[in-house]
Amino acid sequence: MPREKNQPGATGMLLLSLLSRREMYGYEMIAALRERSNHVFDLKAGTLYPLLHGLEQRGWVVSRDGEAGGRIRRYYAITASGRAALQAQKERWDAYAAGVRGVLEGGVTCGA
Amino acid sequence: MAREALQEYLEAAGAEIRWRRARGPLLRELSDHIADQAAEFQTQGLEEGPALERAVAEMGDPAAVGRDLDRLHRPQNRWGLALGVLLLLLAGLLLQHLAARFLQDSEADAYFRRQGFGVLLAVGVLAGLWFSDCTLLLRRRWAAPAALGVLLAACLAGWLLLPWYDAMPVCTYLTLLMPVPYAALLCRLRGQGGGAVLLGGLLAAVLPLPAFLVPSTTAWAVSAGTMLLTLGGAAGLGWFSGGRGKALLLAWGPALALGVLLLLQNPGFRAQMAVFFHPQRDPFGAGFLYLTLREGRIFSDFFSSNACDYFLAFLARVLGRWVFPAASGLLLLSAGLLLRRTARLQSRPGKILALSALLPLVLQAGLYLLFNLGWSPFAPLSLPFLSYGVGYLAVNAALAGVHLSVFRMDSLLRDSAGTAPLRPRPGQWALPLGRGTLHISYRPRA
Repeated sequence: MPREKNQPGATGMLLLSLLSRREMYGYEMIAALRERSNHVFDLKAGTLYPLLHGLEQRGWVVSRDGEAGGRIRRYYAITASGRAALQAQKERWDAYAAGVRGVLEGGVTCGA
Repeated sequence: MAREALQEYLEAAGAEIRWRRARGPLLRELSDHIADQAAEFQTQGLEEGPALERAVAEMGDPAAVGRDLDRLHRPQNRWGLALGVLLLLLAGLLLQHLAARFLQDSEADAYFRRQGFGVLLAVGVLAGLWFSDCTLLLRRRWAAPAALGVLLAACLAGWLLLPWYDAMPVCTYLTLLMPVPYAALLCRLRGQGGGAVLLGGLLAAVLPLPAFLVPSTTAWAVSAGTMLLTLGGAAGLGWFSGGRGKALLLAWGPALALGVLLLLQNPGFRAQMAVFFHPQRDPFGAGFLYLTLREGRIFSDFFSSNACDYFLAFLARVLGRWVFPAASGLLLLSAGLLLRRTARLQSRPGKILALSALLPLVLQAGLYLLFNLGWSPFAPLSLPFLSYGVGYLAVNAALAGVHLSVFRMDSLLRDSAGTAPLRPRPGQWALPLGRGTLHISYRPRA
């Protein structure tokens, strides 16, 4: 998986997954990620926004200014190409996770 | 104390962002995040001050955030497109001079000097608009209606002066600029229903009427056509409630009906159409022109009277008929590439605004090409940047400048839900913070 902070990789996939359910603003995303991962993913805002803006430049998310609670917030929503990218990343992740699981659990021996 | 910590954080992050216009929107997003986090800490029992301090501490290293955001937010200058326009301007200057020499025009040198001035003016207009802040049209509610009002008032003033002054060129130029503020107006109608779409369509037919009355049917058709296609683009992006199909029907149906009605009421246009479809009935007037252009046997007399209208026909006569398929291919390729790049813009308002500046150029070029082939019922306006005088050069350069400006500012253009986003002033901002406002100002970096 890509490791660069601004390149959509593992964290980018998680953000796309959150946005595939509904549009969100930055703070909401961090809170949702923390809650759904049972505090495993506690993203700093300093990591989140460059990552989100990188996804936006790739055309995977779009943003708009909207009002919530009397304040203007920048909402992000996933695009069709973002959904396709999410699907492709999920498939790569599933293959990777299956590989790791196979090794950890003894795996299937071939030709033995 | 807490506010100072926040101010220091934002100043440190902003100092790393070199594009000054981007600082305001980016810092506002960070300050909004801090305010949300502080509110959350307050609900957990912290006092306002400590909650804000802790929220700032949670943000991480401001310089690192600033550097990351700086890498992502740079003005997107499309130098290739600007260079292409410059080359076309220079090619137009050269080709028109060669044509004047070929026709042994005694005014060739004076004409060359005038066109040279036109090219310089066009470059100035293009550069001025390219590096201007086109987001103003979207950020300020008054900007688009005010721009349309100024254009209409200038047309009206020209029309009133018609007995003493030939206002036709001025009305034509101004009408070609109308689609840009119209597109900005459309961005304000996002989320509206059928009534707004219907109004948008009818406005597209009505706003360019000054050109229709002057009369320049072509300028009216190019401007109205651009506005309707832009409205169609907005409907295609799903901007209006009630579904895309219904929105398109409401946008185009009544407007097209009104347009056809207007054209059929115009005796000049009816006569022009009759000649266009039956040129043999007018063998010594416009019919002769259509027949000779269609058959490719044109005479020098055409060029000496109005060389700019027959520039491609002239080139085809000198170089051969391959000029037409080559020009058609080049036009289709350029238009396709530019439309593709426009569709790839990040922001939807940017797409609409860029489309409204691009389409008048494409439609002018298409109509010019068809006219030179003898297959356009509309008289040509100009072959953008290549043919015609100072006024068209300036107007087309203005449209190209707006197009380039939209690409440059794309990352700062946002869809807004009827809100007025913060103005990205280069040096200082007043950021909303809780019940108050946080003022941030930057000194120029040493």
